[in-house]
Amino acid sequence: MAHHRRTRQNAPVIIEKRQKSTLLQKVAKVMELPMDLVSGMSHIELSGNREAVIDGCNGVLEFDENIVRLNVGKFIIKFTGRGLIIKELTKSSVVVEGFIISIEYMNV
Amino acid sequence: MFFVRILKYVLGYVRFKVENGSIERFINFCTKVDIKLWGIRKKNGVLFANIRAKNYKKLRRVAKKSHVRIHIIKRHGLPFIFNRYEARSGLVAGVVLFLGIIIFLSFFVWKVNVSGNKEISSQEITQTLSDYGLNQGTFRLTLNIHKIEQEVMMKLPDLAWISINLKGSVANVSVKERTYPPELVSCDKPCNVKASQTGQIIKLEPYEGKAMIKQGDTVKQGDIIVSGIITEKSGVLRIVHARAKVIALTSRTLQATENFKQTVQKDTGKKTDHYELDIFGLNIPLYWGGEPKGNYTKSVDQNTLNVFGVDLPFGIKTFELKEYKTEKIKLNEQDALNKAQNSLSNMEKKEFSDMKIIDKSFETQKNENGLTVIGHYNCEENIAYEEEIKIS
Repeated sequence: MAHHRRTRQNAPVIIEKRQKSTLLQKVAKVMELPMDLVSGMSHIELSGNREAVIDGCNGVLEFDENIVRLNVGKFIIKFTGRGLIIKELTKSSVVVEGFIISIEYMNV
Repeated sequence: MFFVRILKYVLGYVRFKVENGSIERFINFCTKVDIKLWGIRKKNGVLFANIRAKNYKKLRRVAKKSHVRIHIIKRHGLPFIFNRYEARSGLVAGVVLFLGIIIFLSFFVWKVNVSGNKEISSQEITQTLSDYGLNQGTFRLTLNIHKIEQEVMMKLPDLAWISINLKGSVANVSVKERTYPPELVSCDKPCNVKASQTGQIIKLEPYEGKAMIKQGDTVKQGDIIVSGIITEKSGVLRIVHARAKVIALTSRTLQATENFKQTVQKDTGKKTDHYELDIFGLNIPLYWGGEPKGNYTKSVDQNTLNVFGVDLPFGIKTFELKEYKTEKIKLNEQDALNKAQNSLSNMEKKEFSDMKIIDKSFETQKNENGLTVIGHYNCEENIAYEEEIKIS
């Protein structure tokens, strides 16, 4: 979990706990293979700030014209923006379209 | 993905809205039962999405489970258009049938045009073509044109060249007739020139051989005029192919007889028309009963349906049947004489076509049955003919 600590300038600093890599991830790293393919992580493709294709999505947690929150296995990914729509939705992939302002990863 | 769009349109899709309850839950349920959604948009707490028309029924169960209410907004795509016209399926079937028949009929040959023939009749060529498998109503796609061309060439030796061009349903057959080399007189056989007619020779032009007769002499039929056997001064015998032009004055007679009592065919004025419908070479009679009893002359007139200068394989054949009866009539002397003279002058034209008639005189003989006109002619003609000398 992230620990929030205040600095002297009162700006929030997020310190992440270092995550342990799995064996598969290590192998992928050594062999220089794509990480998402080998270790079952999600694959996200962005076209500028207009479209995001998310492969390996387990579910939609929140959907709004301003916020899209998706469950991608180890993380929750949060898109914020304006006029967001889900262009396509299948069993394992989602295409989010709209004016994307930020993408945020959150631990489950 | 334009193609995907077309596919969606062809398969049909539904735009619907989801209200009340947890919309995210509904979305996740859909993914769980493998229902594909697209164009998902949320506005004021209402979700809009597209779904394939086929899957909409499954959606009702999902909606029930996730406690939401769904409503169709609009139906898109071809299946719905077809549904709209379901009541008029006959119209659609008619259009399909019409196109089907047009396409089906275009697989056949409906007209055979023959061009380029002079001596051989078009009918003979068409008949030969149909013997080898090209006629009205032949299936076009399995036609082996090259083979038919070769077979027709074999069958009709007077053809030098034939080409069958299939243009749609019309077979244009172009032919070229053979020009035979002129027949040559074989000069290697020994011949005499003889007289074919009795007469007085007025002109004698021997080209080869020895003339036996002088100009002005008379010859009987079968006399040798120019001999092919020449005896040289040295005593050597030489046999040649004698040739000569021999113009002689000959006298010939022709006669024509007419009986006073004659039977003639006369129209009774009774006439019937019979019609036959001709569809693709099949003749369907449009009249009841058979041919009428009595003596009839029959003449055929064929009318073919023509559209923009193209003959269609439909038409009507008209048979004109005219009744006649045989009548016995008696000619008077003048009529019989006129008739006889008429037929005599016809005979003259036919018989003496290559001769020059110098003068002619007629005499008439009469008995109780009829009369005979006899014509005496003095003519100038070529009486030379070549006869082979048989040497054993």
